[in-house]
Amino acid sequence: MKLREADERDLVPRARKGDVEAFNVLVSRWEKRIYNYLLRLAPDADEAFDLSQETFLKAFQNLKRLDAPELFGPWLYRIAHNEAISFLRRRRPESDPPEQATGQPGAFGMARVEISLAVEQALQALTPEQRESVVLKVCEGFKFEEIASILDTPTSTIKSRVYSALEAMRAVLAPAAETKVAEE
Amino acid sequence: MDCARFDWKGYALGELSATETAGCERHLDSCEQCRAEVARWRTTVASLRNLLPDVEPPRRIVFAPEPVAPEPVLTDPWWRRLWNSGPQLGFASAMVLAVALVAHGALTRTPTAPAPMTAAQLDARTQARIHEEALKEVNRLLPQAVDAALRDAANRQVGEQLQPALASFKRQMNHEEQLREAAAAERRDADQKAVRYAFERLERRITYATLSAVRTQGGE
Repeated sequence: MKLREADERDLVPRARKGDVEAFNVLVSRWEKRIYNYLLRLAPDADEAFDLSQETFLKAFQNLKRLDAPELFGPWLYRIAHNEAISFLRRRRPESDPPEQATGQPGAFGMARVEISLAVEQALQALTPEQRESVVLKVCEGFKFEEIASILDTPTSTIKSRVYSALEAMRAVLAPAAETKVAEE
Repeated sequence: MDCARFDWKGYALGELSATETAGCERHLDSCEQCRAEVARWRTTVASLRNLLPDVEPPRRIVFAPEPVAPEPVLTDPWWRRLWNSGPQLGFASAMVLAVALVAHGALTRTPTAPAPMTAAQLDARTQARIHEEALKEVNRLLPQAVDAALRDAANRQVGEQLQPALASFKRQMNHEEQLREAAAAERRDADQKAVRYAFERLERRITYATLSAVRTQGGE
């Protein structure tokens, strides 16, 4: 079987034994998703890329601790989450904890995305935890239970964060949504 | 119809079980209001997804494999390496030549009988040898004895010169120590005086304040 076509259940054990090529295949499969996830947490693209590299390096170093190869994806996101959180703490040691540090200018990669001012404000009004949960749910497509595992938070809390974030966004998007619904 | 019991956000996000999803869909077939509600949530989710498009990383992340140790190369036996080595071969040739010369010298030398010596000649030769050996011994021991003697003398001289300086230094240190102790005692006394003075001033102020208060009350 070619390495490129190999399943993660085969690649992870090989990488765990020190097969760098197998790990590079895993990296190529996940780097875009991890980079985009970190792009929405980090202040800019450079930091997001640095954090991505750190994430994969830590993953390679700690691969022996991963018991179930099929959980490589959520495990990788968990490392990325921890890297982002420690980076943000190092960067703003004097500021409030993340749950109160809302509305950071430039967060969420807004400069790159052409969106309306109202939507941008609504996104920035979300707490960092809400944003991260929404990103993992809406953009990365994880189930609530997987997000709970990645963020080490109860599933009910994740569900509550995503629902409240959706309600906030819907309030902003209501006119557009109403128009679209009417058109349908 | 109880529309409130359905989790439309969970339905729009695909979080419901198959049974729950089937129940939702049965209800949607007959409820226009809930269809509109679901459409709004789906639009919200889709808008969020569109707001955050995926971008390519600026460059690929690739880990370099560990450097592989070179495979062992087959080596020649020692005699071939020696044969192929210029300096070693030259050295070996020189050794062979040296051995041949020594062997030739040993084999071709003719034994010669010693000439007979008279008693006087023997005695003179013995005396000369004794003199020579004694001179050698004197030459060997004399420099050591002279060095040792010079070293002792120098040490004594330095010791004698340093002794008064050392004593003077100790006296000076003792004197400075006494001066420091005296200065410290003076500072302690000054501090105690300052504290006593501050207390006295405080007592006077308290007394004055008490008297003023008593007078004020008496006047009222």
